[in-house]
Amino acid sequence: MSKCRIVITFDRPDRIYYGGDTVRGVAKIIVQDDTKGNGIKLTHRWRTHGRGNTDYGPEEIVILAGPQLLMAGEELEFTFEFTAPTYPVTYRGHLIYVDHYVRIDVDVPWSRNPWAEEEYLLRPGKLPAQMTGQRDQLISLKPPVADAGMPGKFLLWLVVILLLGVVAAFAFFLLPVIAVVAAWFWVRKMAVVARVGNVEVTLPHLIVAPKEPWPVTIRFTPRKSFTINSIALQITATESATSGSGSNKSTTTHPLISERHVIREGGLLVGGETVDEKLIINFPDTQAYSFEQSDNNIRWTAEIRIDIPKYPDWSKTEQLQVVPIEFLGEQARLPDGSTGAGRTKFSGEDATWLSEQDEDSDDDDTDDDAHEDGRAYGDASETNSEEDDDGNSSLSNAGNSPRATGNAVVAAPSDAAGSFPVPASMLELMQQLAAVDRHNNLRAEIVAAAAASEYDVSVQIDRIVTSIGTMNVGPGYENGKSITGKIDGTEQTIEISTPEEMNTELEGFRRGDIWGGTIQVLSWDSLYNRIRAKLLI
Amino acid sequence: MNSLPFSHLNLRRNPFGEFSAEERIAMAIVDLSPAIAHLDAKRPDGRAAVVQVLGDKGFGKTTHLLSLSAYYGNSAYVYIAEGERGRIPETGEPLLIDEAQRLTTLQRIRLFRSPRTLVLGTHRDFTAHLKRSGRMVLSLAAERHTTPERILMILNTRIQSVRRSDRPTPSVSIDTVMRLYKQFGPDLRSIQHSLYEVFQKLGSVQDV
Repeated sequence: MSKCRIVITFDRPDRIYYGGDTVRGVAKIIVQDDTKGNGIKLTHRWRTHGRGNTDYGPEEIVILAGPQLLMAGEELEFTFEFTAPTYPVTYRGHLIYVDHYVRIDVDVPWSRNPWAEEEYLLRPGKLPAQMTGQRDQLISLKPPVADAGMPGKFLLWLVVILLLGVVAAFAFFLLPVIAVVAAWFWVRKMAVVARVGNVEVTLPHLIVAPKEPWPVTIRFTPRKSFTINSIALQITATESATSGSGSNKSTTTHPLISERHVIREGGLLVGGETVDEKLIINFPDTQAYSFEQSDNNIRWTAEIRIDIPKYPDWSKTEQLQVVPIEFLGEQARLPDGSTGAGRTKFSGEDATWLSEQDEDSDDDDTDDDAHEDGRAYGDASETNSEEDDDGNSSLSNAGNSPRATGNAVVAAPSDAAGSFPVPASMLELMQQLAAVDRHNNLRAEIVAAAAASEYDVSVQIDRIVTSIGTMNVGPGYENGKSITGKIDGTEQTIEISTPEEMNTELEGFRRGDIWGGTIQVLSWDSLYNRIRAKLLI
Repeated sequence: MNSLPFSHLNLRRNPFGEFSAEERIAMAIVDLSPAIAHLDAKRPDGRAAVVQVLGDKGFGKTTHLLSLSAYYGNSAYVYIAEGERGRIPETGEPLLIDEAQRLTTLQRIRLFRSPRTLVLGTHRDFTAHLKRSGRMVLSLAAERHTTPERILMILNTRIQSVRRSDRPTPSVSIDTVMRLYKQFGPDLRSIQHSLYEVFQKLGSVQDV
């Protein structure tokens, strides 16, 4: 038996805090065996978990108590508070998760220290200090690294010079190969320039917020007439996680978003006639903000490509930095007129932030958030059990005084738990979904009950994206697409994986079009509050 | 994004993601007794013993070494990365060398002839070299534990190590283990990677 049980309770039952908020709580130590404690400390930091090695944020330590005798049966309570960091915000991806932790350690000499750890959820709040308002170049949101000092710098330069020397020595022997490769690239580049001339691409914002209107311009004067397949913009987001080290090191990538926007359709470009195209897209709606760490990365790129048939293409790729809209303040304005500055607001001395998203339930996305807040409350309640035998603790409601966040929805106890009848139609399935609270697993159970059946469905398309490897729903679907939209005539969203053989047919569909097919329901996506399904072939 | 990670499965994280060395030690299910008995036994010739853990990538060599390192409080553990010359600590008993096949010839000769107790994690069998240096060698196959029954225990221990509360959690069934064993053999790492994907998609607590 562990010498102590530790229970960590936060002042907000949903554990949601915004950057710069004061995180408050109570650490309760229940002593189970007489022992001499060398001190009790609280540590808070963020760290990643998932497929890659763990990356950590800086460790902040708060000493809660000094050395003291701990007597069996004694219960000690320590209130704590600290300022939440501004970045990185909590993230749930596929390969990468980012979470913020509060850990309590009781230092017991000559024994394994009893400890407990709990997560809290960090949302975008106060601007990170690095955000200066400049958006035309990428910035590092990593904490500043301590200065290496003169001896460190000298050593660093020495290593760099030595490495350059070694590379130069090898380069001498490899000169013929390097020259051939360089010549090939040069000829290729010149061949493209001979047709398209100098191409000017303007991306005014390299730092961009989700859903924000994002302009791209391309301007060039072809030197001769030629045909193109298209001029297109490809926006890609990829998670990459590295696990192991040395020869055991392996990096796994997972495409998050791959969106193609046509800037100009195929056709003839006339020599001497300037092509001047501007496209404003709504940047993809995402919570996968750019993240650069040693073993876990989320990278966004924009590639502009002039696709020339039977000839080398012209292309340019830029790395983008996607940040929460709150980090851009007034600079980012969404199509509905709201700005980053208006998204969160301080609610007075309670240090409680309310999100506009949470207050507005009319908008689709905001509706989702409001519900999700409720779910968070529900989930927090679910974890309000006592600590388990391993010394892990969870929330306890006793003595907890939840602060009014305004967005917490108490999940009413549902009596609908149990098995569900298999819905005969899509309409019946949706009626079942609507009848239960989303703050528990009942929707997942309903969808699971429907999984063996086939349903005809019509979908109002919101987005069709390539789902290379993202939806492992069976053979034939690996290189297919996924359709996201609302079931026609309803507000229920659905994501349907389609097989590769449907790719060509789906290219003819646009946002707002109605598409229909026979599907098999796969699962309930609680993150996006939608049904996941696959098209039957 | 508003719920605690994997709370729908009563877990704190995906149990088949990457864990730190400390977490791996805490979860390790390896039978160290033959190695400990061999390392601790007094030799008539006074020479220190050597244990080598042999196996391919992902079969559990590092887990063996880390567990032995945790068992011996004064040990020294060194991992030799690919293409690098390993720096051998002067102190620490026993000395545990992971990826020992990457020792340089000179390092190998010096170490094998030294009076230090050694534990080697290696792809290459050094029995003949060690015997020539007068060492008593115990060779352990890293995959000796990776029977389907042992894998089942390892996988479910991982799940339990990230449990949130005493409510039910998902578990891996023997049928799944048999299927994965047929597909990947004793390559535990590939089995875990496969289960990572399964747990990413798992909507509720159920047997996998």
